[in-house]
Amino acid sequence: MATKSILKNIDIKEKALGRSLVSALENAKDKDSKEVILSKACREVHGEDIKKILGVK
Amino acid sequence: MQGFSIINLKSMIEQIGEPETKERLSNFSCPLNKDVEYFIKHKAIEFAKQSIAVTYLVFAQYKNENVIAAYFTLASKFIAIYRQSLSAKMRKRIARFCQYDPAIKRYTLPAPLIAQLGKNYYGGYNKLITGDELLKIACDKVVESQRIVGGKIVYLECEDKQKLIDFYSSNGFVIFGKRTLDRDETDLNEGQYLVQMLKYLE
Repeated sequence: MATKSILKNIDIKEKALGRSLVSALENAKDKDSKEVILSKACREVHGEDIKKILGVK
Repeated sequence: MQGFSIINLKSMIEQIGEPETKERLSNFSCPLNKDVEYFIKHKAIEFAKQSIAVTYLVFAQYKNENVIAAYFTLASKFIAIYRQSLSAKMRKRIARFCQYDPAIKRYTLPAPLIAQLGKNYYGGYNKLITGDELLKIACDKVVESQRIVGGKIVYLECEDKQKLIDFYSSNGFVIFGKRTLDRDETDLNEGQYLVQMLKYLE
């Protein structure tokens, strides 16, 4: 993880990189991923509820 | 409330103000990756305010208090594939995933970036969530956004460490390239480059 990744673009200009991307896309589409089940319920908190979660009055 | 609570950093600033938000982020600790810690302490607020990247804090209950267990940051990106980088056969294959724009002679593939992903080791809060859970929450958030704007791919860039690559690979990510680090990045990241990995989201 790198902060600068946010500011970088990915431009594929070489054939080797193009081949690698196409293969990765095809492999990723068929790839099995382990099933992850969250140990706890998960919800996004909005608006005034944020203060409640943070204990702010 | 029990369970994980996800809070958008920008919404948190709107609700409790920037100074209080900064204070709450100041204890975040991630000894495994200096950049993850640096970002949340020094860049996340600025990037959120400018809408360059969106940070979500994951809270969990610890001793009857909600604490920051982890965070992740997403950024809107796309991968540009120049026509000359693909043979005729490859062009047919990539057409299943993205569109060609003849005006700029490129294929463009919308691909949000998981820019940061890290657990908070301060006070042992990292034990409140697993890496798999955090990555799932981040990917679910990307899926949610892609239901609105479209897209099927998410990518990330990580250090070339077998444990990291195995972790992302077991969660459906596939290596597609490398990015050489700029000189000013090497103090926060190990190695000379980052491994680029993508996932196809169903």
